[in-house]
Amino acid sequence: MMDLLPFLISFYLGYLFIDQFLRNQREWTDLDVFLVPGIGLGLSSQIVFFCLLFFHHNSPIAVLIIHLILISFLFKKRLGHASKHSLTLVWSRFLLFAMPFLIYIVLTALIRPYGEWDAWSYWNFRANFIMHSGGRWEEIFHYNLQGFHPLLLPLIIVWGWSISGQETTLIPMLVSIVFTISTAGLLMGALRSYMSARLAILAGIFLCSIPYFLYHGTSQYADILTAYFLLASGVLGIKLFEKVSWSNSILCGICLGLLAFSKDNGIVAAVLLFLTLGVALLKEEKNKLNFNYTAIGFFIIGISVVIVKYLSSFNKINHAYDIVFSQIFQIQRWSIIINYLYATFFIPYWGGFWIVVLLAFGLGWRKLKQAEAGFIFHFIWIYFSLYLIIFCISVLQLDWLLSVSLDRFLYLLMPLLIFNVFYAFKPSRNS
Amino acid sequence: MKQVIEFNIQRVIFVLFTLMLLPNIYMELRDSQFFVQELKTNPPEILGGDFIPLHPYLSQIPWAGYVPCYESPSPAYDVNLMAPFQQAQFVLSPTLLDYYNALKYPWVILYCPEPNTLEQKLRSITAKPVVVLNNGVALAHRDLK
Repeated sequence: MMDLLPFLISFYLGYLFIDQFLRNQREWTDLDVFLVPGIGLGLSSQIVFFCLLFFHHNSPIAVLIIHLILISFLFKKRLGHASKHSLTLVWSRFLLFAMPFLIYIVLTALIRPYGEWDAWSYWNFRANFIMHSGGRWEEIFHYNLQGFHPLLLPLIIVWGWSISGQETTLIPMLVSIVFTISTAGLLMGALRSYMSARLAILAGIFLCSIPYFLYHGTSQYADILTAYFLLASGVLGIKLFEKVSWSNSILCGICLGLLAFSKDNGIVAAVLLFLTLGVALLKEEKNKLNFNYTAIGFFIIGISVVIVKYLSSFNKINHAYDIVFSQIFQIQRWSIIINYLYATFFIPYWGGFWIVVLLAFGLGWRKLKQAEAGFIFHFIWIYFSLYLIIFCISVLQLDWLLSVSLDRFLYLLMPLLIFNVFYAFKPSRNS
Repeated sequence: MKQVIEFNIQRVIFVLFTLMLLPNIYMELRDSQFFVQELKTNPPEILGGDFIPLHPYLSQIPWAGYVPCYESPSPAYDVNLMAPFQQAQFVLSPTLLDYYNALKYPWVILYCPEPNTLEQKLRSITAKPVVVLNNGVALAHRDLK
């Protein structure tokens, strides 16, 4: 039971925070309901991070007090126009549909209590180190410890372990389960604004039916967090074309910031999505204000990413990031990459995802790049091309790199791609 | 005409999404059966269990070297080398382990599961054993002067 306490505190903080943002702006939607867990846990990680910087070690009591102060402050100012009833109704309706998949999710989590390799050797290890290293916590950025990814996932786990009072494998397991379910819910909630409940549910169920989505989601990697915040940033970005709304804009910016705080791929994705969104928004004068507010939200959370990168810059350069640009002209490397891509697209555990998505892109690419969702389309192809180039010019062994990274890189795009296809092919109001 | 084509493409896409559900759910059901079976017959082991007994000895040691008896031409990509190293790193945290500059530190963790290799390795790195476990794991001290 104590293991659930940090989650309940974070969810309540997320709920009050979003409620405050929507003040006088608009009503709660299904989308907001599924933003609650992500925003709540994201805020908790930020509080843990700034307490680490301030006190130079993990200080659970200070973190808890700040949570309680924030909650009581927001509670006094709450509007409560999302009644608890509607929140629980949306969640329980969703969980009812997701129930069969929930069993699979729990089983995949239970069979790997420590998660997959990088979960224990990288993400959970970092959480463990921050918990126990005291004033040495900055050594987490030592060059020996492979890469300098930002700390969203480890800090959520630190928050969970600190409040529950025990370092069980249950906390990282629950984090992965919460984000896996919330990503499917977010997809459904986002589409619900544009189409019938039936089609929105189809999208959510399709995502949950992809074995790799659930299996990798519960591997306790940061990829599911990146996928969640990428989807959240994309769907909130589309809303910015509808009307001038500082609440949507700042929420979108916060999601971009948390996306960047999730891992290095997230930083690239956040910057690129911000740029493509910015280019699309600034085409019209009326959207300028939305863009400015998004930038503010992104900047506020982006500060922690800059601090992490600054702290890690004191260490030796990690050669994993070295590149050899001339490799871009090596046909052999490109053919290896294409072979891997081809093999990946038809592996059964992707559940036919790539077949349908590539077909949709082939048949309706004009639709996909049209109108408000055009920035997502441009983001996807630029991000995709960029990573293929990075694979090609990296100094790391290409076979090894592709075997460990390609699936994970494609995984991040999965929920956003489904959203993009459903959004582009949404039935018109007349039909 | 254009509208009819668009409408049909839209239907094809949504029908394909629906059709894909069946094989996917079948795969998940099949996997679920396997997972249940696996949980019954092979409950998950404690990760890095080989190194856990060293934890109390390392509480005041921030860094230690890691010396395996197994050598690899490309250690960074070698699972046989990296798996025990990273498991040790995971369970012995907050002590950090250094594989690449292992002999820079007075405290060294050795991993030599093959019989008779541990003593040879201790001699070659001129280290005195402090704790030796039955599984080929040892904590040793080196005089760096």
